[in-house]
Amino acid sequence: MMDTFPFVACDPLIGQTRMNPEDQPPSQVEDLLSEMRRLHITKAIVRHRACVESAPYFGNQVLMDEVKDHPELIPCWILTPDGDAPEFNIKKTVSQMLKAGVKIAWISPEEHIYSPKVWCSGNMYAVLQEYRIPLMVDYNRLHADDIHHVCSAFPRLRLILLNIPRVGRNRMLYPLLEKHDHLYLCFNPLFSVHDGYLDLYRNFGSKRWLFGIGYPQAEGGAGIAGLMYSGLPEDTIRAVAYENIERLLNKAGQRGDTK
Amino acid sequence: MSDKTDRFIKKCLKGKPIDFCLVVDAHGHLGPDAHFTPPDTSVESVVAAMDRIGIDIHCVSANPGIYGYAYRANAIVEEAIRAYPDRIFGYMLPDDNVPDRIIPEFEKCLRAGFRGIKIWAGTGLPTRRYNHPHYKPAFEFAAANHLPVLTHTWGEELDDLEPIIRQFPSVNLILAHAGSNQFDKYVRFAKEYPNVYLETCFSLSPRGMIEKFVRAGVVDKIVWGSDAIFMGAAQQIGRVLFADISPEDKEKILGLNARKALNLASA
Repeated sequence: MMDTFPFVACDPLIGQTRMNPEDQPPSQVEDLLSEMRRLHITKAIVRHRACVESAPYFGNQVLMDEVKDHPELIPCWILTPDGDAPEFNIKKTVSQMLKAGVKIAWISPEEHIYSPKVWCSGNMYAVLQEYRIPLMVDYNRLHADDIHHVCSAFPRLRLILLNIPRVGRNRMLYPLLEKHDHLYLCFNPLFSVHDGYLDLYRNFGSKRWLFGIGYPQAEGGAGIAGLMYSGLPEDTIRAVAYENIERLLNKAGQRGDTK
Repeated sequence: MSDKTDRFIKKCLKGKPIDFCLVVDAHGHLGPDAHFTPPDTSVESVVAAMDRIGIDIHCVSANPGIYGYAYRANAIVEEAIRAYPDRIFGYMLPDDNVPDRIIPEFEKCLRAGFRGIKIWAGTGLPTRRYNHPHYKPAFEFAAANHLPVLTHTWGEELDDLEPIIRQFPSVNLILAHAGSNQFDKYVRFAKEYPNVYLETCFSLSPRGMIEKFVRAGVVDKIVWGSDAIFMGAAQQIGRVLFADISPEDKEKILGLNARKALNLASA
């Protein structure tokens, strides 16, 4: 590897889709590892498509099996508000997750047929907040009003929005970032915004942005170029490329941060 | 180091500009827009981004032209040309609602240093179709003055454009967003018509699309464009810099082909 930033890609999704797989790019572990080498990416947080196309906790097991021999792949479990069978206790499920060494989670409310609002998912958010476990969700899966209500009810919950599109100076996202200090954005090639990084940095500093490559659908090099030519200071590029996510992961699993 | 890490990728990983070959952004914009709300729409911010990336020439029309304010849009571009005559290549826009004014406006633009025409019609836009008679003066003007024409496309418009491509063989026609849909038809056009070029900006940045065009045998007909400031030039150039193609092909796509397509003899 040449001397460059040790990028950590926060958004890869592995597992072949059931829908027209012949029309989709490859998305298995070996292909992801090959892409990481090509793009000079050192680590990746990995989610598995089986979690949404098959069953959530079955998908987590598939994920663990597939990444077990690859320390550069950091598994991310999907969660549901009710937790895994047979206990259906989200606190126990999160405890099992931490015991398995998994320190980051994601949700997909639409596929798993529940409301992301506090009345339905509040217990899950409370546990994740308590254990400082970052929670990832696709930008298009939560309405801005829901994000506001969740972050208001759980102000220390580390909520990461994935797949931020070319939102520009978005009239809902900027107020959300102003109001909620623990709202994070993961940028990948979809975030193709002229001076987008620069404006966010000038308004909200350097700590809340994460790096992604849009695997398997997008050309990850677009994400790298977007960051490297962003005009951000070098220490901020470093923060986005890997430091911010490493800070979040280092604190995950530690209790007592509920204020 | 990966054996695919060529000099384009090395520069990018260091955040250094692509300064060893011609880089032309064939598809850009200036001015305000309601939907994508870029944080900074000034030409100064565009030139700053060009300098960071290593873009020599940025070819622009202005956003208000989409919504019927073509002449205000041309005024924005005229000002940018005046400020950065060596960096900004202007596309003049026709107001298809007032066809009698197209030629006088275009003559004014030509005197102001514009070097191409942009026509914004088709999918998702509040405009007429390309084969509407109101656009004919614009294509005739392009032919008479040896100007390239950049056209917004999303696949569906190609059938309307094909007779125009045939009717004006001396006009280089650049099909924007090529590959967004109907990939094979874009390739056929590029192979069949010497005056057709493909521009590939696409916010989804699909993995492997640049490589697919090269494998299809049209590398000499692809020009790079970003759609900035609707999109970010940095992300869009990354699709070419990291593409699994030869450095020679990257040079063609980033600038050498545009020199022909846009009649940039001196670039």
